[in-house]
Amino acid sequence: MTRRFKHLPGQIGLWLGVALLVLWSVGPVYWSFVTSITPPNALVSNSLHLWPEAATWQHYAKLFGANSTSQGNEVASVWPQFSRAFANSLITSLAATALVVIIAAFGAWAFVRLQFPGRDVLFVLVVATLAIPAYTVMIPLYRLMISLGLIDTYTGVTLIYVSAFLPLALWLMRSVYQAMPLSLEEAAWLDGASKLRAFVQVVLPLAGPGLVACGILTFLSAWGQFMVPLVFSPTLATKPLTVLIPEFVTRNYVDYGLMNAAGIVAIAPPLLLVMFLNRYLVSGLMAGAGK
Amino acid sequence: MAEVSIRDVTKSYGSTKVMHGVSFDVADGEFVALVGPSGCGKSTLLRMIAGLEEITAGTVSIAGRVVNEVEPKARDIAMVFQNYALYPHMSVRDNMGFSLHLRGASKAEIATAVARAAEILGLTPYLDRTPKQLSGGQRQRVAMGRAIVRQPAVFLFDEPLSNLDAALRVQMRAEIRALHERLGSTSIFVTHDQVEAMTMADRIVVMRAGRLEQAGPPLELYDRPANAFVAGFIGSPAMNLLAAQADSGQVRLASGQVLQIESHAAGAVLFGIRPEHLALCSPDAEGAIAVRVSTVESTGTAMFVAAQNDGLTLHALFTDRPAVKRGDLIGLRPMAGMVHLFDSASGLRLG
Ligand SMILES: Nc1ncnc2c1ncn2[C@@H]1O[C@H](COP(=O)(O)OP(=O)(O)OP(=O)(O)O)[C@@H](O)[C@H]1O
Ligand SMILES: [Mg+2]
Repeated sequence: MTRRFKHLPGQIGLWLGVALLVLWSVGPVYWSFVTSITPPNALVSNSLHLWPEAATWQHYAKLFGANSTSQGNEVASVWPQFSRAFANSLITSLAATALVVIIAAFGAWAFVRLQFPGRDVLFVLVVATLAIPAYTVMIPLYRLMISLGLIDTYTGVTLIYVSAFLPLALWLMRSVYQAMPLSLEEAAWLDGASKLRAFVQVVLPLAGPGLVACGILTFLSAWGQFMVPLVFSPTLATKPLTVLIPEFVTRNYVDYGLMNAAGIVAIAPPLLLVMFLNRYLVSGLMAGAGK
Repeated sequence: MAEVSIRDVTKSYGSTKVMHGVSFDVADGEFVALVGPSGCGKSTLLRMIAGLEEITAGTVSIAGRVVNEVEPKARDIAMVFQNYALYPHMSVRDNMGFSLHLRGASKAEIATAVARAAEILGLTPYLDRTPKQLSGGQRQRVAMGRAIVRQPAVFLFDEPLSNLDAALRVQMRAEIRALHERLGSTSIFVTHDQVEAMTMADRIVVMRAGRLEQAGPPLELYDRPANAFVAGFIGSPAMNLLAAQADSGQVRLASGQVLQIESHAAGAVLFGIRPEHLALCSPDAEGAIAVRVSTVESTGTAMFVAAQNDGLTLHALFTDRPAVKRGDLIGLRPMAGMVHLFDSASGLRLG
């Protein structure tokens, strides 16, 4: 008993900190959810409610419904747009994630294990591109994409994502490989493996957590990307959720309920992905290699 | 099975030369220990034989074939790494079978070979575990197992016992030697522990600072060290090496003492005598070096005595537990025919 009380101030501090952190990160999501189940007329009332007096699924119905009403009028359903944008978000994010993880897995290994002139300079240059603010390259990039005919194409958007998120992934994977003892690869070579074989069968499985981390980072960044698709995805051909949802604001009405319902649905894929991949983010894979 | 031949091998990292022309041969089926102080180039030499390190000049041949340009995987060599380098994501079975799997052996062949190696090494109960579920000694055995399943031409060991505790080390020493006898393979064993080298090897190669100092059977190195470095390195506790002036059949030690020797060397020499070749006698006896005891250590089987006299320190080893204690004045007499003389400038053996 006495021990517990001795640490009481520290414990209270810790719990306070944790509570603040949870409030900070979960609060907005909760608020968005509450908004998405609040009837439209309650949304504009003066009193603030932590839970709506009359919860409603009508915004979700509007989102998924075949037909839709807005302010009492029959309007076109948003589902075709929403589903299209949802697919666009998924396709570009997944494609970018796959490409970034594959390129980083091999590229970073080359930066660590292969000897070639200018290796370190090249790496610094690649990573230095992280420091270039996106808006400075927007206009030249736009002209480049026009001349390549890549505006409003999956290829175009995916390529931009890859070039934006690859440096960080390369950086991360390079430190993963650097921390891995060379003797593991050497042992594989002496066992009769080619360099590629040793890489694929010995190095890659051990680099798994690093690759998963790269994948999560890239997917989350691509999923939340707003500025790039705002410029490069003008139509529903490639327009993602991040750009579509703010468009639910019409000239004379802001449909907060619908926007937040869409937002809550948009959280699902990254949430599921993180929950699924989380189990592979284990540490200690290297245990047992040495003495 | 194959012989290994190393000819004038040098190694430079950029402009720093770390290996200055090393040559020696390992006969087919021989067990050679490569010893030397830390940083002398043992691992580098071993890695050059394995093909993991480029050879700057000279040649390495295995079974009569120069392998300088041959890739590691084509050299038919197995190596037990200083840090074992077990594949952490594979079971013991897969660790041991990996090399056979890579050369396309059938499942049945692999299973047989792995089972046999596991049997020899006492690893059968652990085949389905991963390396992290094993003790240090078991991991060491898996590393050995990985090397022996494919019966390579040459085994290379890089200080495989250096991190094990004393008891396990002695046990593994015997096991590795027994394994060598059983497989009859050519082995090169790197260690900086000269006891390990003495007990295990058919022949010892002593290196220092990228040069070969002496190569020969353990007892030859012990009985007739070619220079003062080998004399001091081989044998535990180390040989006493005293600065002296030699002249017409006698030497004068730094303490002023004069001793008779069976040599006609003249000039500045190093007078070498092993601790176990000093006999206890009274301080004023004929041919004795009078010294005062400063420490006495006993291990039960042996008694280790350090004694001083005018800036000269002698270490002696007795197995009959004489009644000697700190502060005693004693005489130590070099046994006849056990004295080694080395030129003090070049360190080379005289006579
Ligand atoms: N990559 C490198 N670049 C420069 N010098 C190196 C490199 N690798 C090793 N050396 C030098 O080569 C020499 C021999 O090193 P090596 O690892 O062969 O020593 P060793 O005899 O195995 O020592 P230990 O008993 O400590 O393992 C050392 O002086 C070391 O500093
Ligand atoms: Mg070494």
